[in-house]
Amino acid sequence: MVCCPLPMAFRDVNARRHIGLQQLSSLASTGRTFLGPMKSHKFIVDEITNQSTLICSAVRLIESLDVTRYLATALSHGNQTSMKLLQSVAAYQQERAECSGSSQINIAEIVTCCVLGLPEGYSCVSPGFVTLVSPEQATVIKHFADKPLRILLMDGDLTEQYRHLGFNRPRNVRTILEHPSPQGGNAGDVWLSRMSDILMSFEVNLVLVKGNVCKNLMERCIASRILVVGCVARDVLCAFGAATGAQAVTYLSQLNASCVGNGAWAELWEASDGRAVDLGELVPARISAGGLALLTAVLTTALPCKAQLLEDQFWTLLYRLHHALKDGKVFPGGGAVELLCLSHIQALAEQTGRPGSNKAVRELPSPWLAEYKSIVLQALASGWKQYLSVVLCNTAKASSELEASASVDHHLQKAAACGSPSAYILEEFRRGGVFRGGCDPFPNQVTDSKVCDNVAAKTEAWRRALDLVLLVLQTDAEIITGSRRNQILNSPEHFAGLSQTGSDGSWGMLELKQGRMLTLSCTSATSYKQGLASSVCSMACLGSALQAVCGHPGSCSRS
Amino acid sequence: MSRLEAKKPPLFISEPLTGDAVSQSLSLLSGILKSSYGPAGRLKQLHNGVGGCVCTTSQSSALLGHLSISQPVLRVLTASVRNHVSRFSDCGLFTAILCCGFIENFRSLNVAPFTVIKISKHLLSLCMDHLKSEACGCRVSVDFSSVGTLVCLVRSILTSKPACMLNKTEVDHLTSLVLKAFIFTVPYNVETNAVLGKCVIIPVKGRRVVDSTILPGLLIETPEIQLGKPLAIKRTGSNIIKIALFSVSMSGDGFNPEEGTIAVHHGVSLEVSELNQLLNVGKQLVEDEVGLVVCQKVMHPSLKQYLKENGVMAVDRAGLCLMEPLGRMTGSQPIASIHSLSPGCYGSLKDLCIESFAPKHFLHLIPEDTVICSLILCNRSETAWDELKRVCETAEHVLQLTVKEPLALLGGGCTETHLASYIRYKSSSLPASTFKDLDCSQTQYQLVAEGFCRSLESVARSLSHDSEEILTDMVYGHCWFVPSGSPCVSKWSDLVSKCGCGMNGNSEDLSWRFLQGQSGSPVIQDCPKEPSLKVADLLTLDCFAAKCSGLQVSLFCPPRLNAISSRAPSIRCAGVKIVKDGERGQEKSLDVKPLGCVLITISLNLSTTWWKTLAPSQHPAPQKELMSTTELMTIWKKSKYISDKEKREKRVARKAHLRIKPPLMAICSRSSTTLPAEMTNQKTKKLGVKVTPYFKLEEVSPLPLTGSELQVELRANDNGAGKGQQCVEGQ
Repeated sequence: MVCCPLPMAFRDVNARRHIGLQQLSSLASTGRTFLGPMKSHKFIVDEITNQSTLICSAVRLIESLDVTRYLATALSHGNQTSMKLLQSVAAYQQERAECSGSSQINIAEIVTCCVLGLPEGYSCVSPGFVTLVSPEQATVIKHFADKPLRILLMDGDLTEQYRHLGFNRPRNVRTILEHPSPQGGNAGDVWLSRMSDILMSFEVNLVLVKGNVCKNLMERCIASRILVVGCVARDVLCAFGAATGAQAVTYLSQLNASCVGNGAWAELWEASDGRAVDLGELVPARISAGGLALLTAVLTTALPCKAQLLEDQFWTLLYRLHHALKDGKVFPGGGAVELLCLSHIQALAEQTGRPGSNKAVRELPSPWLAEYKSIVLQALASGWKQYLSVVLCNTAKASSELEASASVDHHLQKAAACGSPSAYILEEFRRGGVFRGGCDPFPNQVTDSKVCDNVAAKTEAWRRALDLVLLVLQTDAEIITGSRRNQILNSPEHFAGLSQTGSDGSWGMLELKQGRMLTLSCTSATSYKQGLASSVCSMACLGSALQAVCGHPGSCSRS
Repeated sequence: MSRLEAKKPPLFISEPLTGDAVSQSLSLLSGILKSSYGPAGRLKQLHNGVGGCVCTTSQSSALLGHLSISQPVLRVLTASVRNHVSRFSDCGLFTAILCCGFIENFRSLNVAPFTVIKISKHLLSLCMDHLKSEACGCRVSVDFSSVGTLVCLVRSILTSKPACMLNKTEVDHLTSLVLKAFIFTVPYNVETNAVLGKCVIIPVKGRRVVDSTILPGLLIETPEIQLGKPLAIKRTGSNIIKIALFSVSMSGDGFNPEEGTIAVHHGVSLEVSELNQLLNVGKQLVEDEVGLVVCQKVMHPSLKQYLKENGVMAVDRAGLCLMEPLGRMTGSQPIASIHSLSPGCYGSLKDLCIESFAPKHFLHLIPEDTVICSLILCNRSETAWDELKRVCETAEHVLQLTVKEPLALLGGGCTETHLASYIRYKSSSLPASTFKDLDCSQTQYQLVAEGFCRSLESVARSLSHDSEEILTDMVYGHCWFVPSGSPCVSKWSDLVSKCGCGMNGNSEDLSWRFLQGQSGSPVIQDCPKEPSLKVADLLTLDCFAAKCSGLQVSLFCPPRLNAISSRAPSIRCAGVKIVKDGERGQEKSLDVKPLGCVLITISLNLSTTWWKTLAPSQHPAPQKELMSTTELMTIWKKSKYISDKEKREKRVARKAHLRIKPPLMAICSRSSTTLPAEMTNQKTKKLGVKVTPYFKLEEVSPLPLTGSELQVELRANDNGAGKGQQCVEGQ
């Protein structure tokens, strides 16, 4: 125990002016610009490599930020004009749903491939596995023509040095060479010829490898017209295994006849108008098999920095649809469900404010606690209202926050006056959206498409945002452990809150883990992508929740 | 490069409790602990400051485990508490806060430390006798034929740690899961030596708490499993699945020499010959009609392929923590070598199926009749999951402890205030002979008793974090909280609705008073009564065994530390001496008693690697810390040196493997003051374990359990025996 700060100072950490909350609040304010369909994209520039990326989601923002420098300078990196969402992405989902015939989307059966150099209009969904190959590999594919291919799947690297996970390389083993062989062929050559012999003897035409492929072996295979593709995702291997009967092996020495699959084919991928895809170094190729349950979303773009953005947007939308189908229900979107929540909270706040009038009051240990409850509810309501105002501003339905706020109030009054707020809001939604009035440029235009939100993703995001705020709010001290000597930092300025260390509080589905890097709480790619979908909502709600709980007495109570 | 350093003489610290540094550290530590206590406790953010993962917690085990404390006195204190937690899981903060309270209160008394010890031991015995008597008003008996009390017990534990981030529905859901898990672990046919089973917690982080569930049997995570395909499993004639369990690595690298060099002729491949041996094992397994092979470590892909082609299911990387329950559930002996395979080592299973808790897939092993179950525990964030896991484990442990002693104590501060009321009443009505026996005056007794009661009440006061007023009533001696900012009213009953544990309501006038008690004369009162009927359905309850132990542990430490002051009258005084180890800067405490025996301690930090080399069946029972030399030697011989390779593997292994087990201790007779040769040889050095004889002047300390707890932190140095003796004589 170092420094021995006085206990009084230690207690001071839990002041109302909570540093951790203030930091969260500033991060959340940036998150708000991502709300709604009209996102303010962020242009992230790496000053060292000069590489730049365009982002539109909170996940990528947090990833790109060095949060330890906890924020203002990092965020001032310009704010490019918002770009329109790709309409075509919606079309991919439609096509996918039709071809699978089921209401559920199997995410594992979808992969993306970014093709640089083509205009975005060429994006499409291709059945099978589309990947980028070298011109030499493309030549092999041309030779295949329409021939059915014998396919081999490998779940490791295809190199001489590779051993399966958990195998410890022998040290201290010395080989004694009694009679030096006159040929003097080195060990690497022996391995290469053995491997290519195995492939030839089983008449394999196509090898899909999960990991890396030895360059020399690749060259030999191309010479023998065997197509070897490396860095293939596990899900793709599984899909090919199911369609062709191939069984993945780790070493070529394991190979027997039952491991090799049949009936795959390969061709060069062509754009919809048959336009030649001569994009320089890498060529898109399409590999497929009869009954292969795999779709590739080919995302084309002329701007390299947009590739990440397109991929993120695609996965976000895909997951939204996936979750909507899984939930079997959706929320009325465009702020409708938030408006409903807001009207409900306001009603609750008013009820609680009236003394001795309802059940909630009696549940509290003492009657005057109801006063605090009403304050907390009102604060929560103002958080929701701010969220709605930001959505209205971001979607250009209001020119200022003040106007947006007035519009929200207007709707709230109408909803309350109508007797049943939910009926009013649903009716408004049915007529084309709750906030379609105001400065809508086309007030008379009747739109068929309605905005909907995911139920589970949204409610989870609300809950996580609140959890995070409560976690930070209930924390009163930070203790540094480990190699540095223990310190209990007694001044509020040192309170790291979320931004330095993450506090492991969930951020949407995200978790800040290391001072600099932000990683996800779950290791799987699935939850990562889910995180993309829910993060924006979560960031925004976090803001609302922060607004709600900051600076109010009695706010620690978890009502 | 070698480093030479002059040997430092042993250091003797007298009066360890005086001095500003100690009192500041103590008040800081007690501040941290008090602010973390109870369901409204404030959380602490623990991290290493250089980007490590962050633990947000209010649990004593996590807090004390992370703090590295340099003050010898506080080290003894935290070691005692941690040892208490390792044995009872619950009441860690209670013990620590009470201990700090005792030190703070007794230090300021103008009474000789030796007298303080005697009086406080007498007070402790009054408390323990009261808690164990039928008339005790702060305990309830637990009826295992209905779940009511059990639900209260589990609920109280689950809600005591706010970092779990649970709402009401989630608490209800988990309460039922924890109870179900407990019921699973109770054997159907109870014989004389019934052993409770085990609940294995499976982490599924990032999902909602209400997605948590419980399954009988065990789950092994299998990321490679193909969903949607039916499992084709080979069964024996009697329709059971034969299972083989390997604890040895089957990855095909077993030829690696640990030391020295192997020379092989060109053209000979050790890898191939090792693989052939593995395939021979595979052949044997197929011949023996084994249907499922589980390997703790990695299996060679070729072996997996061979087994699969022959209809045998193979699962590898099951992990160390599953091995013991797997062996117990299936009746199989873990196979530790690929060279010997006896048919007797196979176990059996009723069925196998695949369970999926997105994003993870598991193989579900279903036994015939099981006391082993798996709790799939979900929580949204990692830190909340970690906290929840510790809480669930505590709840399971508390239920098991309650089976042994079907009692619970009232929570919410009521037990503490009740005990304080009882002690105040009792100490005012003691016969004069008691004071004579204790060799003290009645005033001295009253002073110590008042300090004792205030320490107890300080624990109840620690439950308040928002400056609520705390009251106690004069009838039942329970604890009542008045919310902060309450208006002035004429009657207390307008402000309080029920007491901390929920047993009493405000319907009758209970003559409340403030629980400040820092100034003014002690209140004389009647013996607190036992409440006739409870108001609330959901009482806040605490574990009886854990709280009783906590009470004893907390009192054992401070008064004895006080006795180290220069006024300690003679060697006959029972006291703890703290000796600074000059070489390693670590402290030793020595219980000084007359008579002789040798205490062998293997230090806590270092013994963990050694511990891990032992098969689970060789682990001594956790509660059995005093072992004979013969027992210790048997275990010692079975252990083996861990190679660097294994250490590397262990680093990769899951967190659960690295849990620190209680240290070993042995007491042997005076004659064997020198250690057996095996224990001081090269192997010892390699393991990094230091084993040193230590002189102790009495057989076993008077409080059998607490005595051993303090000795946990004993650190030995190379010639500790001599020093230990010197130190005693020097006094």
